[in-house]
Amino acid sequence: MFGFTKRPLILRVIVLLAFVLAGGLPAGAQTLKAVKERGMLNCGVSQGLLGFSSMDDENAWTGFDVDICRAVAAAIFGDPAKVTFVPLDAAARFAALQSNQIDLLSRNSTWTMSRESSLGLMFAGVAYYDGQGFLLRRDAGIDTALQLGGKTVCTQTGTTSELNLSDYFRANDMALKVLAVGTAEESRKAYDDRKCDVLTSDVSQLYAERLKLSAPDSHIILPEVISKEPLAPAVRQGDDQWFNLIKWTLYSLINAEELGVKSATIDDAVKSPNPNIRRLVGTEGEFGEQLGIAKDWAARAVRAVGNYGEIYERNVGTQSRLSIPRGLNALWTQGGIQYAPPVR
Amino acid sequence: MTVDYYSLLTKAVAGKDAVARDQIYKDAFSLITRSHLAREAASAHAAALEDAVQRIEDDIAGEEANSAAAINEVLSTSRNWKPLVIAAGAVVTVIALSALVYGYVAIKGPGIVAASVKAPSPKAQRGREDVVMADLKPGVDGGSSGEVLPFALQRQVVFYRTTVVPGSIVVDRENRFLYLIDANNSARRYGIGIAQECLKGGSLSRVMNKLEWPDWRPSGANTKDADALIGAVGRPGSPLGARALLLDKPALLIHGTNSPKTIGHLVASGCIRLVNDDVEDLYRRVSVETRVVFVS
Repeated sequence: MFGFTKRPLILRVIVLLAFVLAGGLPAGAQTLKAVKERGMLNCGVSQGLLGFSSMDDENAWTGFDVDICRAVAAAIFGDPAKVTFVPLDAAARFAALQSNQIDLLSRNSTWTMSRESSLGLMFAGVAYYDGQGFLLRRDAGIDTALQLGGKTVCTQTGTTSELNLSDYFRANDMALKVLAVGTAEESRKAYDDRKCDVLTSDVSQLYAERLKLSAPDSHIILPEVISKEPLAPAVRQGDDQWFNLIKWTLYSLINAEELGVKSATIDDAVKSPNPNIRRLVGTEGEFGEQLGIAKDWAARAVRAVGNYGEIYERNVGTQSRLSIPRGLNALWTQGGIQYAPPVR
Repeated sequence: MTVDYYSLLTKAVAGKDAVARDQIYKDAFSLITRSHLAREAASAHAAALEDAVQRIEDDIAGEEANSAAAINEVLSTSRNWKPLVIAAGAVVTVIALSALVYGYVAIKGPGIVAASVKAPSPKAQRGREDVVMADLKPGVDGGSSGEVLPFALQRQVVFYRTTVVPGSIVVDRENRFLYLIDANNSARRYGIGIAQECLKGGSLSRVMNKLEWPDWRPSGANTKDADALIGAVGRPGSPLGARALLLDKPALLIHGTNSPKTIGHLVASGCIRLVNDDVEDLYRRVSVETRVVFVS
């Protein structure tokens, strides 16, 4: 009897569907569909960078960037193992994304304007705030970069590091002596052989280099960061649905840390009365469905790899050999600048 | 018996969304069903209701189409000449007015142009490098409090993120602030005035000595103020103010002032000045060897 009263509603649904199918979504909105059909996520990573992506003794991929891939796979499939890792060198990384060989690039790549404006990429949010810093001998008695005037600094020729270095010394009115060499390896060796007093590079790299020095504990890394190197996962332009999915998976890991939702306590979180937690883990709202995946997408990601803090500490922080302090990568509530928009 | 379902329902569904409207229609139908009417009467009511619902939904659909059309009209500027005509009119008016003003200025001479150039620029208001603010005479006490200053230049605790270690002083020459760094991204901020000779120089310094009511000696040309000097040494009115922190280079110091209004500005003499209340507050909180970092 009420069939006809529903007609306007049904009409509406049909019109909406027609709109969505005809042009409501961009033509490129195919990545999630392709990934689901394939049953695997193809994720581009570094060929070997301690803490970020490297093979462990059992030939399993491990690292910060690797865990971002696993979190996305868990959000989509509920299974963090459904990732094919594609090791890429710096030259091949963006081409691999453009040519559809990978769905996601999670390979310590710096988010810059030209990479978005001319390479057809989009960065989905800062996973790791890196920047250029200084490593030197503890017994030099120096605790700020402003005391480096007159010291010899080792760097690589023709890099942005070399330019940043001279800019910083000039801005602070300090005398600079540079020893520029070809590779990171040569640079480290020159420092170890005391041909220079200071080694400069991105802070995450300096911590990795320090482990390779003859006595790692006798070297320190200064707190100052003199350049911006925001490392971010990248996707192709033109697929907003996929971009949203990657962005909000990253943000859900950061929000999980802020809300105290951990891998060990994820099952309690699902029963939490806190509305912020309920929305995050999918007990309330339809945020997962709106992304095109399951309601409990964020809970799946956290269950698989932990929240942002857990991923950080396990791979590059205090529980790792690198032991990089959180610094800028601490949550905004803890003095850092990691800040995710709310799930609402 | 007839019921005007159309007007009744129009009132009931006003402003409701599709789901809420559907529920209202359902309630109306179940009301008829539950009214124990004769079968013909019931079906007549149901038919009338059905018509009313259809008319209302058609109205709503029409309104939505109209508003969509209105939005399209706003977006499609190419078909709308009105704004273009107005803009063209405005351009013509501006040109005509400029011509009139030019003619007027040409007749009246350059005086008017000079007056318009003198309008206060934001640069001058912020007390930049090209404007030196004059001090009060030595011996004249302009007060020790910063209450007369703009709020930003008054002593306050602020959010301040830095890698400089807590306990250090950071001097932001460009923005005329001195920060005493505290833990947890916070700092005590003081407004400063700064002399030209302290605008440039190295980034890292430290406090070598602390003085209460330091002696002030007039430099060169000011020796004729010797009378004033007698009254200025070690008491209110001294151009060096109540306290001084001497840094590790000659003539590099943080000190007080007898002219609070110079805070925020470039000044002729001294180095980095705070109002006396502020320099006393800072003096109490820092010790010899405190690190001083100059930024900008």
